[in-house]
Amino acid sequence: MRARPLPHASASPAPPGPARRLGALWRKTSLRHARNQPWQTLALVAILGLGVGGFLSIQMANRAAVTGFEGFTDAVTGRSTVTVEKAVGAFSAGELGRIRDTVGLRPAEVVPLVEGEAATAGTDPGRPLRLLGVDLVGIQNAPVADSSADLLPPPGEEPGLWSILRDRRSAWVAPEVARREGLSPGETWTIRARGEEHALTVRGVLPPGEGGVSVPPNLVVLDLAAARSLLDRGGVDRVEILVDPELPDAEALRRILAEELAGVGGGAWQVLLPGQQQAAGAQMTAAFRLNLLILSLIALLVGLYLIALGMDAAVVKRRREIGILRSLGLTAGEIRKLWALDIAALALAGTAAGLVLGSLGSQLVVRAVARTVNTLYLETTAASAQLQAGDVAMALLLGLGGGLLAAWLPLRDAASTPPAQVLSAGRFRPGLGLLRRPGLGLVLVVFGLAVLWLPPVPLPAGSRFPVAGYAAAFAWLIGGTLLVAGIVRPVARALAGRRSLPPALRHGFQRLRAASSRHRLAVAGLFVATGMALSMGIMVGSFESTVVRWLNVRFQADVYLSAPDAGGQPGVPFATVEWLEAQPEVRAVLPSARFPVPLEGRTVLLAGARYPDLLEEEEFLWIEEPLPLSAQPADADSFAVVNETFRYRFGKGQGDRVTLTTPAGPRTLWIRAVKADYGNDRGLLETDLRALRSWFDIPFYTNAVIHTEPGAPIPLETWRARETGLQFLRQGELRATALRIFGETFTIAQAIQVLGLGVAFAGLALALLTIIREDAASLRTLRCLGLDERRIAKVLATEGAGLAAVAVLGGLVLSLALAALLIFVINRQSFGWTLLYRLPATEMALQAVAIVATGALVGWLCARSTRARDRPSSPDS
Amino acid sequence: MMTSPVSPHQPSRLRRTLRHLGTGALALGTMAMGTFAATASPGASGEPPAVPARTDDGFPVPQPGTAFSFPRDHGSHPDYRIEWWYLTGHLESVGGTTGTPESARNSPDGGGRSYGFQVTFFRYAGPLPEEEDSLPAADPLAGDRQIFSTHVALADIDGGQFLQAHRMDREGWNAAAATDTLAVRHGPWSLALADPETERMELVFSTGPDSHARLTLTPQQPLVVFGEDGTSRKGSDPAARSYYLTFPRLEVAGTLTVHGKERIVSGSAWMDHEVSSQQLGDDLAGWDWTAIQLEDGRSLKAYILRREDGTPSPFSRLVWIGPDGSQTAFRPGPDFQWTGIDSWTSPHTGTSYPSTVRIDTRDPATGQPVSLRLHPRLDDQEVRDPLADNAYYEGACSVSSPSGLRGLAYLELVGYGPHGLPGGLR
Repeated sequence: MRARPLPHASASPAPPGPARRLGALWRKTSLRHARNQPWQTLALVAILGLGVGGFLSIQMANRAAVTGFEGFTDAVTGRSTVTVEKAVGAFSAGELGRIRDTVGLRPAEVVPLVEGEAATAGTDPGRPLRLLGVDLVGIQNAPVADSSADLLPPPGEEPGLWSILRDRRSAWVAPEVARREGLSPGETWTIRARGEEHALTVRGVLPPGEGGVSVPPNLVVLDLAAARSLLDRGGVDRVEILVDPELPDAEALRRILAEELAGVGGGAWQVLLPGQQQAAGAQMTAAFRLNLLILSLIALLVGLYLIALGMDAAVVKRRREIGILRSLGLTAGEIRKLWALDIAALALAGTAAGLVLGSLGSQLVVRAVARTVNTLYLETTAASAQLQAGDVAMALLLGLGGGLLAAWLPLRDAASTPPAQVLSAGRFRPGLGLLRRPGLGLVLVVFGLAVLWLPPVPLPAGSRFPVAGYAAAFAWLIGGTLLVAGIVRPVARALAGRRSLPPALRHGFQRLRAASSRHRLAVAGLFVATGMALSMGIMVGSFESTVVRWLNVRFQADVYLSAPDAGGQPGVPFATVEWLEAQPEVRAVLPSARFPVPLEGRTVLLAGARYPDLLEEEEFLWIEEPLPLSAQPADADSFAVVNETFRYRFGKGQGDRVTLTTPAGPRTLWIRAVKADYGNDRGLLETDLRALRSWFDIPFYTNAVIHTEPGAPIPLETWRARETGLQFLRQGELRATALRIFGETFTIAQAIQVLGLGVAFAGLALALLTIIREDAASLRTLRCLGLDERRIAKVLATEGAGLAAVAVLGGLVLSLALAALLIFVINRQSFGWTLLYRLPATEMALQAVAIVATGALVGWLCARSTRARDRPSSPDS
Repeated sequence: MMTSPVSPHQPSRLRRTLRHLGTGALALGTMAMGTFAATASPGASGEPPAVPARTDDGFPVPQPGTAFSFPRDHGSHPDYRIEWWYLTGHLESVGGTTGTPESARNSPDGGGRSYGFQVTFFRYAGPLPEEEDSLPAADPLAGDRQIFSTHVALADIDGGQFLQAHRMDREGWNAAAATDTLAVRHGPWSLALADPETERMELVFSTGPDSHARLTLTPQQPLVVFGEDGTSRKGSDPAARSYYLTFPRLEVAGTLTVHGKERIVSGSAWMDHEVSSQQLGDDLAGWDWTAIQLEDGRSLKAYILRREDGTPSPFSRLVWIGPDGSQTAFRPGPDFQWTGIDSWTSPHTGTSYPSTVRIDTRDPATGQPVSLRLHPRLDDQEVRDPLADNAYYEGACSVSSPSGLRGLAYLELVGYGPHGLPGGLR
């Protein structure tokens, strides 16, 4: 059928082109609607913005965390360096000489560095600071310009060079430190390091980094001598070999130097090229970034869900307008184009709002990310998230594409339905065909089960990508969506026939028996959001249960002795352990040393403990019980106990052998047992302390546990007073600290859980409002049949609660499956950890009840809101 | 064309650092010329004034009559404010790494190529504290009492290139000088006494990414101690004096790599070791200095201290050094005249240097007048010192005379152009 032209169009002397005609129509319909209903329009834009912004904020935060981590290394070392580190201890003057002699006359500068932790004192105490000691004179021979060490004042300014070199308090602070602490050059500033307060003189604020390298916000630079004195270092911590980047063969020279230095240092030195440093950084954050990726993708789904609901609501609200346009002769195609234009305009506005929301949100999320990264790995500069062109493109794709996609199905229905039917405000014929295919959903669920057998994909940096886990997760998400959407009608049919139910409830279920595509969409979205939120809860609960159990086993001693993270000694002196052993209250002191070492191109934590004593004093969570020492092969230098992560990452378990490169030469360790240890995700290789000390020059212990005599008072204050730079913690204190740290690592997961629940509630409310508004005619019919408002409210409350219940039940199943997937597949493949599977049943039940109750409440509120609108005197006003 | 290995990033930073030294760390190369010795001739002002034990700022003053002890006095004297070990030399390649001088002279890989080099290790002491023990103990890795600064230059005569490098470090793991023997090390560069019996030394230095030298230097003539009673006067101030020790003739052998091409080299070098706590007087505008090695085995050291009014200071000297170490010195006058006869203008700094020189003197062997003509073997031998924003001329020269005397020299010209005389030396 050919459409008749609109009256105003026929009056035009020169018929406008299709585009102009569409534009004129859009102004007369959509813009007028927007003016008449500004709050509705704003709400739609806000929904779109929320969907776009949620996804963007996590993406941007993710990127900020990673670049911040990489930026730290760059800012300190420049980008043209070979880094030489020691597995344990500091570089002595003799070793520095060996490095210099190895470099020889080649065009490279040897730069020793001291690094340490400190904290602010004074009015805002406890903020962590990173101290960097660099030779202010020697660094000026450096052939590269991107080291941020040109700190000397202009000639003629006081104090002169000699004064600065001789004043061990001279410090240069990062701009962020200066701003936060209100510092300016010349001022005295007190920090806390090694358990004592130190007054520094601020000589200047560090210049912004060059070449895009940012100065870490908590950086404080001291002269090498000052840093060594303040941190009580016997040598230097790290040596950078700076190669002039402008040399034509700079890269080759770096490789040659790295090889030679590794040879000279034996196993005692770890030599890293720039790429390897970045790889090390990438390795450290890989697992964490994987978690963020999955969260981003789930956020994307949630965003699409919100957009779909919003668009659906918009279409429903203007169905009368669509019917009128159809009556006036517009074809279904013209209406679709008109609405595409309308939706594009809304989506653009929503995308813009999403970009703003995303940027704001990322600033909040990035703090959680930074805290998580800090807790897991190290200090980062993840302090800001920058909007990039890619973000805008992604926002447009999500907002515009998602908006059009989400609106397409309801619009198709509205545009193709005959005008009389549309104007009658009757129900749409079901348009979301996909949601009516539970069989396909079942296939996807089975597919998810099948791919679980796939192994993880190894990544270049040494991590593994749990492809099976993610594939199964998405198969289950989509499949579950189809299944849940498909069972609304059968469930409602079964319940509606139950005579034992009150009439209002039966009536509600009868409405669901004829559930529309919109009902299915609402259930599907709620199902995804509920499943995501609840699975996060299970994940966090399981992790916490595991950690608590592990901490209970791990921390069995009465007192724990360690060097504090900031402002203390670098380790526990041997003499301290000997002194403690001589105390009458002490039954046993078990020191341990641990430090990272390279192994098969990756880094593991090598530890030494007094093993015979340790096994006597403490219990372990064994994954594989220790073999008897008599089984140790003759060619093994010692035994090792590894953690589960090590076994998983290196594929070596009980009875296998590992060969380490040590300063004393290669040493073979026989793996005697595998234990559960959630202390690190790089792999732990623990051996006998005496053997370790005979291979490595260990200057101090990392920590020690103290078992006291039963019933004996613990003179903790006396010990603390004697060892001011060390940290003594009772069992309870340490467990609380450990739990706090582990809690912080899941800050972001909890944030996502809250977001998911929020979306679930909002989505449910929006969907019900849309459905009930669409179905106003049937409500009027009910009223005409004599149902009072209370019964109508009960009917709608039943409809809402029924929808929510189906979604929540499905979401519960999904959450159980997703949580199992996270715990048994994704986490194990990413971290190598086996976690306990713990259901926070009460919490989950409360959340489920809350969602169902929300459904009922929304239905009830909708009934009330439509009562006034649907009075016979003012029908459909 | 001259190439410089100095990074374009370095100058401002290094200059800033050196200015902070504040003790006259400028024009480093020039300090090596400073044999302000009265030597065999009487002092400029008649009766010598009493020598103070310390300078105004508390450093010890070199004392007349000091007995030297070797190899200890080849080593460092950290109590004194300034000290340097200065070496210049003339090298010739003998071809490849295995050739002999005869076979190599015409070999295609560069046998017979001529080079000049200058290496100067400087040590500066920081100001003394008003009260002893008021300073914290020095950090053995990064000290705060001494700073080392080193200039290295290599003239590739046949290649027409002048390569130079500089570095500065505080005393510590990367810069040190032994006090009991000659063992100076600064970064990858070093000068050390390898054999106390023969006083053979080993010198290692580099002037760029792929240019470096490993040389052995063996004295061929006795060590010369300049100055009255073992101290060399530098001006009318009685504290302005130094211990000044010179090896006027060292045989050099070793390898030299220029732009990645290694050659065996041999030749002759000159070495000064000077220790002082106070240098020049206030009225000086600059100086012209040379160390000449004649083919007949004799050597000359000559310098003119230029005063602000253009007249030579009475502490200017010319000293003939016999193969046996004997000295004959002349003051400015009929037996010592220095005339610049041609100049070269630096394309880098615009400074004009009187780099072709005629020195008129009297040959103590014959008693006859002799006119020595110094001609640069390479025009561009300007040392542009990034440490001190200073430039000076330190160049290899050939020496000839109408009377048939021939030889090689190093010529140092300081205080020309906008840079002037480094005030810190006063």
